[in-house]
Amino acid sequence: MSRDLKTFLLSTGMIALAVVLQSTLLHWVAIRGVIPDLGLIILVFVAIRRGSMTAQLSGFATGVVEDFLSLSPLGFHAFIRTLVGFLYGLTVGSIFVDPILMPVILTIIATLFKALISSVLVSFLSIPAEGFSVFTGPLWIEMGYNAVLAPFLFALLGLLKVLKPQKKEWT
Amino acid sequence: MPGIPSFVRKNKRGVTFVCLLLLCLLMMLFSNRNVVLQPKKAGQSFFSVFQLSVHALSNWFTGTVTSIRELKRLRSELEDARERLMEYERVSRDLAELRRENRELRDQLGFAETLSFRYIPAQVIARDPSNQFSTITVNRGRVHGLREGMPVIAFQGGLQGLVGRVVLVSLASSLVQPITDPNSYVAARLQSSRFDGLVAGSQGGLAALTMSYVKKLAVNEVQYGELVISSGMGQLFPEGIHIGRVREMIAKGYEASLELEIEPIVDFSRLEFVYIIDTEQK
Repeated sequence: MSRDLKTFLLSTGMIALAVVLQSTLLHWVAIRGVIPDLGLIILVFVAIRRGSMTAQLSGFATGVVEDFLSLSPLGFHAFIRTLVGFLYGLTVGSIFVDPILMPVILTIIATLFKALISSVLVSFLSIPAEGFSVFTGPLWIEMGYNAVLAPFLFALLGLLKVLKPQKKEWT
Repeated sequence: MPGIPSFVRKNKRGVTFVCLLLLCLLMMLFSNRNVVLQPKKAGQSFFSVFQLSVHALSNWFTGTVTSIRELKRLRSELEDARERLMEYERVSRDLAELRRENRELRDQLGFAETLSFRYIPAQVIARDPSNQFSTITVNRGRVHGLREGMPVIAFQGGLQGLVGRVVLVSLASSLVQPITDPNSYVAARLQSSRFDGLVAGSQGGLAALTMSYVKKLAVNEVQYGELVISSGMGQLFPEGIHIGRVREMIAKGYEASLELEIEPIVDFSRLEFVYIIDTEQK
């Protein structure tokens, strides 16, 4: 099995597990009903380490899983995660990721970007969603939650050999 | 046309990206109009197995850890229960007498018997994996007799409160759309002042409901804290289920009707057990 395929399977599995945890156990630690998006943090890590191809495919696959478990229309989360995976993947090899600051910054930007895209989709496709009424309480809570967890998750994921930075983009 | 394959080979990453986005958009366009329900149903069936497993595992773990504390608590509760039982025995004798009296009075007034439905108990096993939607997943599905559209209720604070309705049924689990969802509408009535309206979930992620189309002349009769119940109109929800209490009244000068802000009876954040009402089987 090639390394790229191994990376894709592993990252997809990890994000899918995170999505299942988000729908079950993480509601115990929700702050005012808001849960962190572990899947997004893992996707950001995979994207900056392994590039656009792996990240967008993993993002798409796990976004579809999220859509299955949610009242969202099929493709809603898949669209957001594919986009995040692709764009973050473009930065592969060009960002120096320190243990704390960069994971926090990258996750904050990803959460804001996710909120923006979901708001655009909700308004353009008239999707009946509570959404993030942009820049209201839930978004800030999720952003803070994600930012706090990012350094820990990045440190844990950094231990995985298969997610070590790639030298050449998978094209 | 040798150009296209070589272009695809050269730009594999970009082409994949565009294809995936187009696929997402197509799925969304169809799914948003409820055309792609079958794949969603199949996917929900499959992935809810993982949710059920995690839920069962966490239940087992917390159950084991708390069992000792639970035993202690149960012992003291047993004592209390014994005392209460004696009290209830006395109340029960009075109740039987009151029931008999009530039946006789109903007969005299010609009232119909109150309809009661079959209740299917279920446990909440998962919620939405994101913060944008408000899905509730329960551990009952087609094999337990669930159908799409069935109303879901819960008992909290001594009241029967409306939770929502079943929107997607798979083999052993189902998705419930809560009444706080912006796409949920319930025909409602103010319990004391008897004005009708339509309760909808609010856009913006707050766990509050809005009751619209209430006649403006209700402004002097509606009380803060007044109970709002389902009116039974539209046949979707049975009549008389509690929805919430009036929290705020908004009377805009240019509108012909009132808008009421409703606090739901059910606290959705601590919802564990629900009942699905089978309105076809009494």
